[in-house]
Amino acid sequence: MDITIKGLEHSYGKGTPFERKALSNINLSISSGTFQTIIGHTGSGKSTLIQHLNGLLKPTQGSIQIGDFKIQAGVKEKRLKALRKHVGIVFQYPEHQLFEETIEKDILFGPLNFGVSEDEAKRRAAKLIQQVGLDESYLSRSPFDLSGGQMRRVAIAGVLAMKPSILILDEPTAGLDPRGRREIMDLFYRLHEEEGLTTILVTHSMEDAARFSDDILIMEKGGVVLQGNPETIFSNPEALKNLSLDVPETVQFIHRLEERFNKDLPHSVFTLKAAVDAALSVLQKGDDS
Amino acid sequence: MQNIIIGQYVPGQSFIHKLDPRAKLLTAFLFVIIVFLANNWITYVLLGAFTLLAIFVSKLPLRYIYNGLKPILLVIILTFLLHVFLTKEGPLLLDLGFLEVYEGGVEQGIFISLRLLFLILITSLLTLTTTPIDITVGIETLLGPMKKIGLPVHEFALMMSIALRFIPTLLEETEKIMKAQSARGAQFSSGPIKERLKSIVPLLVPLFVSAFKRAEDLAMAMEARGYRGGEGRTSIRLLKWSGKDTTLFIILLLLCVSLLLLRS
Amino acid sequence: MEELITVQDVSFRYQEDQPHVLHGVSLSVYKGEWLAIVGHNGSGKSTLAKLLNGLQLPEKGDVLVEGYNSRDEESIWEIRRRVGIVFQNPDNQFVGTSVRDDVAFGLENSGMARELMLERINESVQKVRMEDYLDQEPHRLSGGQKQRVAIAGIIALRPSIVILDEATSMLDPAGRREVLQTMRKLKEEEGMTVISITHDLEEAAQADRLVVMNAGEVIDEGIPVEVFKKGDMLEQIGLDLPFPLQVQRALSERGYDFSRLTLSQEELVNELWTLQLKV
Repeated sequence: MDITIKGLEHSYGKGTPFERKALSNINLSISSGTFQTIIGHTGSGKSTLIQHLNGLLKPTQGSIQIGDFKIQAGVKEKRLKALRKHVGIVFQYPEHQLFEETIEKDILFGPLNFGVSEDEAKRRAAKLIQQVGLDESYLSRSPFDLSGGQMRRVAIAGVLAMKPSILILDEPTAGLDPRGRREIMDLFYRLHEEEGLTTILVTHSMEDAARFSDDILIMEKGGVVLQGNPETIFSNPEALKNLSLDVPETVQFIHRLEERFNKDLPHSVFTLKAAVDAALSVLQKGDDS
Repeated sequence: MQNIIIGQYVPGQSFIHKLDPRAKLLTAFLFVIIVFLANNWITYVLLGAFTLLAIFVSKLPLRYIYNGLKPILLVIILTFLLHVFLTKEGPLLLDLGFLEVYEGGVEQGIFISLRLLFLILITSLLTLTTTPIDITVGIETLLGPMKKIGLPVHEFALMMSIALRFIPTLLEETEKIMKAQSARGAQFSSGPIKERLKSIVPLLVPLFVSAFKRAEDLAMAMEARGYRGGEGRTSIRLLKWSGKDTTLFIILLLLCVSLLLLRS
Repeated sequence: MEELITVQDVSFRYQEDQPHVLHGVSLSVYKGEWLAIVGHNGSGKSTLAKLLNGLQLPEKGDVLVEGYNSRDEESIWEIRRRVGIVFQNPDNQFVGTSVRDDVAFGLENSGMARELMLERINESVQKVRMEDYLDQEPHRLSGGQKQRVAIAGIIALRPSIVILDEATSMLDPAGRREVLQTMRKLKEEEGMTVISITHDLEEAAQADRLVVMNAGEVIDEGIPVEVFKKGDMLEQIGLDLPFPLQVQRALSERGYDFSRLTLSQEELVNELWTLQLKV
């Protein structure tokens, strides 16, 4: 499902003395299958933006087209529930949404709400619990006996069980330790590839943005300030610094090498390997001279 | 969710805003008693004048006061009608056959409704011009002597202030969980009552779990910062009884005396 | 160096029928140092923090803070006054209805006179640069600001040690920087001793000393460069090495010899420069 956003504007508390404009004039299209990352400081409007994508918030101005669903300012969309079936959101600290007696029941909550048969939903739960790195014996346990990291995995399984075609991730790794962060992000990327999902990731991690994104959107004060593929975005570290955003370590490193060794190095890959290769290339060029 | 403003404090710099919360609490309390002294037109006019003067001096936007009254308006109207139709005193004013209205009924209806109105106005004025935390501190100080007979005044006040502190946090949390469950297809606002009650479980359970977690964390943080009950504790919040507060009391006393003299 | 905290062979579990969270932990904390305690979630590091100011008592062994043993009931309050903790969740430790009330909380508990309290409050909010927010309500503050208020509430009591118990893990990068900068300044200017409990090795790399915990035990201890020499061990217990180290390790595997370990990119690029000159 392609997403097209036109002239989107959102104000909180419209018509009250507390009115606050959170988004203004957002135009954006995300084609099906894209890994879209959204970056910005707290309060830049990124959370507000993603909540529009499944009708949790309604636009004050403009429109959002998702597949053949259209959400428009001032028009009541009757098929919100159908839309939500296609657009899954993993909220920040998703473990806070767990409520059932058993993990299985909690994973089933979404699918059953959307009319999936119980058998099918249970099949999905059994498969998903393994995909998120736990085993089937967990299904009958209470979600509240788990560690924080495990609860997070169960909550994620609960969203994935709806089989959304668009998956929105709002800082899904906040508060996890490095290993947990890596495992969760790898899981999402695997799913993105295998299931052909459209993934929209909101993050503060420039490392993740550089590694996974097809396209990066940088927001500031309710508007889009920069957009492009990782190579374009990170080719200009100054622009990021001006927005007081971090630059991925690999990018910083390659730029430092270029400066010190006065050489042009490739900028398109953002893995540790790329950084090591860059270092090797300056060392080996040393060999030649 | 944003429409719920508990306490509904409206910031301001008026004479009433600046009064000591204890003075305001005592005034509201005494007013509740002396309202019952009024029993004829002149005494009601006197109470009305006092109430209007208080509203005027508070410089509050009338819209807020009206909003505060809205939910109670129906009760006031009902009270009025009840008295009009049920009191059969004085000359008959209106005879509709199935219904008779007497002069005494109308008078009684007006008096009781006014009494209710004055009570609500004065108590709203207290919460509109005093922050909830000042009210809490006021109550704690006023009830201070009760500690001697074992009343847990400090604990009560601390509980109140922590509750006030966490209301916005929990409202935010409620909204967040509602959104998360809506995204999983939950519906909160449709269907028959039984369905609706069932649909609220996915909201309430996480809310309780989180509230307990917060309570546990908070208790630990308080202990880490040396909290060990009210004994030997000092307070940063200082209440100052000033000339203004004494003036208010003199006015109240005059009102009281006038009511006693003028009531029939 | 003056030893402020001594942990002697401490074991601990939350309940008798549960496994131990800490096994025979011993360590010392010295005056004026920044000590980072690292380990993944569940390694026992946060439990250790609670033992350091008497929120939990050891099942076996002793915790001594400037000579006070947390086992003595009389000493507990002395210990809590000396050791402040900034906890993980900024919301769940904000007691007051305004910044001023919150900073005052600890002072009120100690029974301080109001005049002195006001003085201390002003002084400590200035140190964390929150002086313009004294009347602000907590839900109008950012996470980083709330944590700075928590720090102010602690330093108002003039403690000798501040523990950051994953105090930045729920913050965005800007908030994290605010909090760490504030603490570094306090350490430099006031000689505060800081214990930072974290799983962020980038942050730990800047500490004076590191303690590595895993499964309730201290498995390594020393200055960061020394500890980071055992990169494999750190990765095995689920911690991420700082980026310059990762690059350096990959290069070592390819046969490049470095004269020393580098914890910053700048140092690494310099090392590469000298290496390139040698080749």
